[in-house]
Amino acid sequence: MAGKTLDFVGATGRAALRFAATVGEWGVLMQDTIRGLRAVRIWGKLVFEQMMRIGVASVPIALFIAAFTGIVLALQASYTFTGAVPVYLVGSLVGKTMIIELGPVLTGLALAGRVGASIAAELGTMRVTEQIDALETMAYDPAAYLVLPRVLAGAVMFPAVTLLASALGIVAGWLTAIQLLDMSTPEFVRGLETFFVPFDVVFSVIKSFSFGLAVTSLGCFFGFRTRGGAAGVGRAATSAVVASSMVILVFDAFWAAVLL
Amino acid sequence: MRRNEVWVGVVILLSVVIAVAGSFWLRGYRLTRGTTTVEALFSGVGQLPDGASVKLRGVTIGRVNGIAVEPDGTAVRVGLALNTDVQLPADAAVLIAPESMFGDWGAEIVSRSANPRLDFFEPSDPGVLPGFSIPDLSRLTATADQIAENLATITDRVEVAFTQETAENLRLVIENVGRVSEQVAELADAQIGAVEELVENVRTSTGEVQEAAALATRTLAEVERLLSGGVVDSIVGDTRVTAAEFRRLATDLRETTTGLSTTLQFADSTLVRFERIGRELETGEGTLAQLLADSTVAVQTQSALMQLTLLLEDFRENPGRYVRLSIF
Repeated sequence: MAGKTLDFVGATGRAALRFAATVGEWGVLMQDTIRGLRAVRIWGKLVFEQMMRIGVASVPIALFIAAFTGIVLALQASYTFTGAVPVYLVGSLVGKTMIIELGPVLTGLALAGRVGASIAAELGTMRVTEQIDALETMAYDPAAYLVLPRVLAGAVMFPAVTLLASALGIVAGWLTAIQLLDMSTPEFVRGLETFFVPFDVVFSVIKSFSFGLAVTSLGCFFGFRTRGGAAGVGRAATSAVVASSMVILVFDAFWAAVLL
Repeated sequence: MRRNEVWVGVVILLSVVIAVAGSFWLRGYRLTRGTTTVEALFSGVGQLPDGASVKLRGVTIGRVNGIAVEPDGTAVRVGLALNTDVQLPADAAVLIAPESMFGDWGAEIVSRSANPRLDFFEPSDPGVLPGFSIPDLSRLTATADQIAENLATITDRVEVAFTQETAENLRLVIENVGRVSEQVAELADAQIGAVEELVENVRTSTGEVQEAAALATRTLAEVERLLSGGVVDSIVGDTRVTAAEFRRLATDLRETTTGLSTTLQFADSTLVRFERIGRELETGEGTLAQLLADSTVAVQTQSALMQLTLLLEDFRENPGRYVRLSIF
């Protein structure tokens, strides 16, 4: 009994130390990445390519998710708001929810699966094929060459994609309200205007910015520490998606508690 | 590479334009319409947010553009960005109120003369509009809730105090009061009759008393007259003589009675002797019995004795037949 208890305590301690070590390794990688900001010649020409791959290429899936989210929001709001609740609140619910919550979070989670896994798999493959080691051998800073363009691209493109997705989600909700529900455009717009404050957009940008940093940095981190060949690449991609999704939800709660 | 840059630029610029233009649009800013800023002073602004709609006769004509407490802390200055093509009333004032039960507040330009009951804040600057904030609906509902709680408390207490037994007692008390009232009324009626009778009796008695008084007066006058004429003295003297005569008569009667008693005792002893002689005669003892051996003598003697006995009995019963008493 005492032996099992000790084993459990020991396992917990090992897990905590492993987690702390992982966070430390991520911190070291981020330190190297920030240090690589000075090597603009290295990462400058790679940023737009990463923006294209991370941001522009993710716009369709983000818009698809946002459009159907807006439709469902409008339908569920009209289903919920019965009796004394005025119907124009459908617009309030769709707008507010898309801007400050579902737009950033759903886009972040979608891009965590698409971008995070892609980055982890790409860098993991480079690690197991020793391409990263070759870069180091050639005196290239792997952080500046591989990590920094992706992190910068994610930090910039996540908010842009999120704003587009939120806007399309609201438009989808509006179309649903006027086509499928007994609402007029002025009613929906009144609901949008009623509880809208400009800080909602700022809040959405801050959240999606942090999500972009988290998803890209974690994708790079798990790709950089890939071991064990193709299986290791798969594990790295899975770990990157899982960790990114968890961090997105943690950041979501964190920003809501701090900024709202 | 060039194509990538274009696409990235398109996505970024599009998102920025959408965010900025959408925010301005949702806040009510229109590029096609000019605005002018009007200020109003309030004692408080409730939950009015910056950017809330400003309406005139129900039509949105602007937005709230800045809310700040005055430096001395006595009022709140609210900026109103209004469309320039709208003419405000001459006595314009600003009313802040909830637009619904869901927390959205707005401002409305109203005519002050049309709302005389509202206590608008009076700005010292004539260029600033007076303002009034209607109490928050939640505050009103909280007050109503407090009133409802108090009513519930009172109801509970009444419910505790006013039980079925209490109601029954109250009913009995009411019935008793009714009965008492009826009895009091009956008593009053009866007393009124009795009092009337008493008054009549008193009236009658008073007349009789008056008559008695008059008679007594006359009697006293007669007595006084008699006293003054010596008649009473004469009557008293006669009465005294009569009393002396009565006393003497009583003495004589006492003596007569004593003599009569002695006579009766003597008669008794005689009768005893006669009876003894009779028994001797019946037995034939003694001289007399022998003398009376002759039946004739005996019969005559017996007859004489019988007559004597009757005489004595008559004497006992009617002594006045044999004794004559004379007082005068």
